[in-house]
Amino acid sequence: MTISVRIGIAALGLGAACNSMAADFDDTKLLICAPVEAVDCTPGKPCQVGTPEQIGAPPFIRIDFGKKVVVGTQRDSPITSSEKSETQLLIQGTELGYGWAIAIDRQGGRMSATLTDREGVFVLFGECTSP
Amino acid sequence: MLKCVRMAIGGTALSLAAAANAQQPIIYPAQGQSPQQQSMDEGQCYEWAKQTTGIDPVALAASPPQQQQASGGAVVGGVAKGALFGTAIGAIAGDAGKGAGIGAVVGLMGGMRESRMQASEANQQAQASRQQQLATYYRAQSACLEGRGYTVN
Repeated sequence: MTISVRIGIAALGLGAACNSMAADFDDTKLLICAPVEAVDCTPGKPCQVGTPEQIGAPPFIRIDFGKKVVVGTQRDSPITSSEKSETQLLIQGTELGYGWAIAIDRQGGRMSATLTDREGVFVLFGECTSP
Repeated sequence: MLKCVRMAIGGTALSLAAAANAQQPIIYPAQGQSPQQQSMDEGQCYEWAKQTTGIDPVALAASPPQQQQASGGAVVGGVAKGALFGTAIGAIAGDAGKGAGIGAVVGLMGGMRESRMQASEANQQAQASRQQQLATYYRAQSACLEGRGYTVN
């Protein structure tokens, strides 16, 4: 999937989110987040910036707050910690040797995510929408 | 005629080699050799060094090492990477028996990073090998030219 398609999907999602009264993203709904930009940082080297596809990020991250899980195509990742403030939703978990954290802007649905292990950090930026 | 051909070959070869490697030695005609004589000597030393070391700097210049690429499936195809990584991450997670899996959040990022690092390492090794071959060739070339009264640095 090209970055333009991703941006398009993300923009549609964002548009839908903005149009609906549910501009406020809360932790009661299923959210689908589309990473748009991905960065891979390891010690001693410049960070590599690419599309999520190039880095190997999942095309969509589905967050089911009700079940406290991030739903994948082949496996789910439990949400072990969550925090809601006026401005953002913050969830954390671990999966396959990585610690992950996802922050979602409650007003616009912007997403920032990090995945960390002993070798480095992945950073994802994207947009979320409620289907 | 043969000398002319050798000179031409030598000149071309050394120019190409120089383009391929900035470490090419600088040759000074210490005994006042003429440019024509120097070209001929360089051509003959090129042939001698090539035969002695088995390394042809022109061939090296003409065939740069292929860059190993991890993304886009150039070297490690996406499917292969996925399967490989799936097995690896399954083992890390302690459920290798379930077979290959893709992380809900992690996706295939770890495996693709590993592929990129392996490709980078392979590129560095190829480059180092190439530099070593050129250094060996230039040592032989220098020995030849110094034997003919040139100063080589």
